Amino acid sequence: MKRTNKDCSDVVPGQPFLEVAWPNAYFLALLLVSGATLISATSLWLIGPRGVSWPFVIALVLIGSWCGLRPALIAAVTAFLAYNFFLVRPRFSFSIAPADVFAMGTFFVAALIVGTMAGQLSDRARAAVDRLRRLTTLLAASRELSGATTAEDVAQCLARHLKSGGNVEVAIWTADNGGRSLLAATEGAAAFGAKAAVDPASVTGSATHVRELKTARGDVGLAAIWADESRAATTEANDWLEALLQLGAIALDRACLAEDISKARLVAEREGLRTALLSSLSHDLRTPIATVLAAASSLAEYDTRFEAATRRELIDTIQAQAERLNRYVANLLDMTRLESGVLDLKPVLLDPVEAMSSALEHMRRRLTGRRIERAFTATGTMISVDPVLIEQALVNVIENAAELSPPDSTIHVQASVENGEAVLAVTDQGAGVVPEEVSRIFDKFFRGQADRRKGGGAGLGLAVTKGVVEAFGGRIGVESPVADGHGARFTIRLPAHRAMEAEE
Amino acid sequence: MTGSNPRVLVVDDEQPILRVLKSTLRTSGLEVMTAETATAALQLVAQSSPDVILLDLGLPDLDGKKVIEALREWTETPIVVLSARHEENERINALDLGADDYVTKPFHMGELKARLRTALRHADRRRRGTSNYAGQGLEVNFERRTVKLMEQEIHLTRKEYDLLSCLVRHAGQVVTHKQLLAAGWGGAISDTQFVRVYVGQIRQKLEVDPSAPELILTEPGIGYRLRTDDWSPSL
Repeated sequence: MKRTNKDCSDVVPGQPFLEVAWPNAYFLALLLVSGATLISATSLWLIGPRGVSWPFVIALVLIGSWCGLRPALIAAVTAFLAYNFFLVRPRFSFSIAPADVFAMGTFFVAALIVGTMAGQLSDRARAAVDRLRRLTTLLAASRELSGATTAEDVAQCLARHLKSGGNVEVAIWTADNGGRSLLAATEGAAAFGAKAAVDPASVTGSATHVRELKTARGDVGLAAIWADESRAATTEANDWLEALLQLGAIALDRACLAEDISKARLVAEREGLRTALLSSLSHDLRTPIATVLAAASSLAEYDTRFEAATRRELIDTIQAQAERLNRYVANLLDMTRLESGVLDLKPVLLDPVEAMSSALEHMRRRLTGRRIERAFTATGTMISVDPVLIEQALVNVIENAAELSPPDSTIHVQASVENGEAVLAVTDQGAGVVPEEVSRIFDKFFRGQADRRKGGGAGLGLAVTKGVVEAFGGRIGVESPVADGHGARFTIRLPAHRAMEAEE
Repeated sequence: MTGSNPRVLVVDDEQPILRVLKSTLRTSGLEVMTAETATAALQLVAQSSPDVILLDLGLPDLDGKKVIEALREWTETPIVVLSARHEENERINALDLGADDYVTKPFHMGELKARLRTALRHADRRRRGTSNYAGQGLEVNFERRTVKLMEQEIHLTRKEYDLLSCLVRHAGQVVTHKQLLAAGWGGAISDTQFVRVYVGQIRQKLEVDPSAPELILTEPGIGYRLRTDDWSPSL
């Protein structure tokens, strides 16, 4: 550990008072006394014995106020001896002529009193400044501590302040929850093995202080402090240390609580997501199943008693719901595979028009009653995709358009080339996407306002589409409204390959 | 059932299932009205007072439970709740709020119709204020507080009789633990264990094999149901 040039009695935090510190204080005192002796000797030689002691008085006042009480006392004794030796007859001897005993006594007492008073005043001022500095550093530390959010930040901040203010090395561990872990350690503390220590007990043996950081809630941490052993710590410095540690304990406790809360919130959010997922799964799987089962059991029971039209309707319903179920299960499987990364991507060069047409064909029954406007201009271009996955991706976008627009509206479908990219777009005339939902519309299990109102929608389709499109180096975006404050356009852009290359 | 066709109001926000229910229930001799939202449903009940309401709990505009509460403020029209299997708590709450019975999705049409029939009959009985019940060999005389099984008089304690009569009054319909606690203890007790113990005692006296009850059926997690002549779980 680094030693500092500080008076032993000055184990106070912060910078040494007035830049004068041991041994400089004594050196300065000696210098001033020598100077005073020299000036006195000169004045004795020049103007006689009158006024010979004034330089000493001035020097002692200066020493007292600059260097403190102890150097002043030593200086007073030195000044007396120098005065006696150099200036009082017989010179160069410590013996005193009987006539001068009274004057010498007076000088000695005066020197002592001046030195002591100046020293005491200076010491008091110094203590006051120290107290102020301690308060200021405590205030600064508490301000910074309350700004730290995590336990680690708090511990590092505390360690920094302890080191800079108390000039000690520090290591701080977490509360003992079946073992402590190191939160922060100053550089010097590493020398004591604090950084490597899994068990703080192994290093605390060498430490000057080991403090449990405690609050009303209990143990929140442990701090080990290594102070310079050669210095006897003052009560005030110790009080400061304890106060800062207490502040640190409170801040640490608060940070731990905050972490607990955010952890709990995270768990709750995850739980919420799980519940949403479960209810979404349950709803989306169960609704078609319920419809199929109800229709099938009706058919089984009434069969010929149904009118032909009713029977046809029930059979169509069963078919449509089974298809819906199939789409949902396919999406669910794709999602799981996309997420776990097991999805085996088998890209082949495919005509984007063909991909879009096949998706539309797949959705033919679902789109009954809609007008479909096709704008297929992407000739001579290929996209490199997995045919099954891209069809699923496009079906999801088309289904989304069908779900969210009136049954007799128009759906515009586009397959074109722009800036070397194949563009596949689906535009509907529905209510559109609310601005605040745009950023979340591709999130898994997200269901928009319109979707929720209808009670349908898996909240999976668009997420799967995004996953698939991105897996093949493409991207997807949504614009809404498209016209007259209505409609939404979903645009998929995929890298385009020239058809020629495909034939090579 | 009464002379003219009973009228059922089906409330569900899923078009496909609504269509299926409409066709089927119509063919089985019910007059069917439909509503896709709670608001529309409440309006229809006020306007055309159906004989029974089939209510899906997951409606887009209002919680199904709120619909039940709103309806129970002014009408006794039987309500049969449609709910998914995992919504057990929702189901119990719906029943405690005044729904008469429930059907779990997905369901067989036969089961659904049986529940609707039971609900209609129950409403009919309540209107006429019958003083006795007979079914599955069980006879209960509410005025004299006597119970007979296969013509044999059975002695029940007061509490046992209170619970049984509650089940009998809702014959064929589910009765929740809470409803039974209210019938037996006036709601002073909330530990369903009491209900289990007393139902066990009643079963000892009424069932051929109390370990495989055929008269007082358990609805897991919800309550009990008294079997009637036309109801069987295989439907």
